[in-house]
Amino acid sequence: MPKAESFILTTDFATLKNDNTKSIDVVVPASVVIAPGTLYNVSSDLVIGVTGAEQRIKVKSSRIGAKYFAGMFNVTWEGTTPFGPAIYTAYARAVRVSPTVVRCIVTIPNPYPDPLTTGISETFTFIVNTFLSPAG
Amino acid sequence: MTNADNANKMLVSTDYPLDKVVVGGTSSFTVPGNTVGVGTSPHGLPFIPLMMGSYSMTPDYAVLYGINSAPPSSSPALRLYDFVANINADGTNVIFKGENYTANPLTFYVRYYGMESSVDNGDTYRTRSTVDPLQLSTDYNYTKLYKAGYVDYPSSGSFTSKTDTIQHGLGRVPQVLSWGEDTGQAYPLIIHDGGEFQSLPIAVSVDADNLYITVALTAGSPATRVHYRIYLDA
Repeated sequence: MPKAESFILTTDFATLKNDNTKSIDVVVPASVVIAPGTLYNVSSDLVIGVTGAEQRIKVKSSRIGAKYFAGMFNVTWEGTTPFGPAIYTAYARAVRVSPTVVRCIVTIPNPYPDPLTTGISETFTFIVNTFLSPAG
Repeated sequence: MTNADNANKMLVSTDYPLDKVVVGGTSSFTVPGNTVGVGTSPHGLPFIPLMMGSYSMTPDYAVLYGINSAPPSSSPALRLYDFVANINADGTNVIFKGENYTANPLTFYVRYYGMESSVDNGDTYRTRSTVDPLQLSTDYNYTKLYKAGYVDYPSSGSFTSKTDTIQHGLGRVPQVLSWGEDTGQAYPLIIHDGGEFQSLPIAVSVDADNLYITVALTAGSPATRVHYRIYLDA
């Protein structure tokens, strides 16, 4: 006789199982000066998920509003060099640095031969979901 | 206490279907230094599966990277990544791509899974390959699919820039997955552009009420389909 409390349904198809959800902000201050040919990096770490958990991220920018972009996120704005306006791109990424730590990183390269000054302050809000993979 | 009074009771409801994984498994491949390597594995399905997954640089999958994601480069002045992996699919194969920008060979250990799109209705008997069959158990909180669909963007001789809005009305920001499909291949949309200058052709975003698909397709781009899946889960 089966036990009522161990009720389980089975099918032939695997599916996804939620593990955890957390959120964290990464702030790029206003008017950051980036040396020629270098990267500006700012990051925050989240302890999240069991070892081997898959992750999904969503990212929003305070300069855009309430929209979360459904994955890693690039956003391009206008900054300045000593010689005038210059566009720059901020790359918002999340990557595991250990089995249970996800680092949320914003990287801004300066591709110009002159110092680049970024625009107004921008807060990137990351939502990280982890879930149990059906594979492996 | 009766069952009706027990807050821990489980309700099995078909209001929100669960994802059904139709193909999946693990694979590994080695890419020589400073090379982009591509490998394939037949999926045996009568449609193009929508792939997702992750990869690791060690066979125990201890540190797992999302596809199209990698640690910051050790040579940051040159590039964002030293390596990265992708998983796509066409009508025949799951397609693995590993980019190795280091001088030495690298082995990518991939975990992959794919789902049937909302436009397909093919026959598949069970999850193919090595993934575990679903056991619906109250030990787990399964991702619950709320809405799935696609939007088509025909090929055009002129630049196409538009945003399509798909209402979900959940009142909170849900989980979302999306894929692009063109020239017979479907690929996960992992990186999105926003702000004043959109350089990638497709950006998918979501707020508490709507999903937004913004395209910036150059003249002559192939016909493109964007698949989306909106989950009840936040």
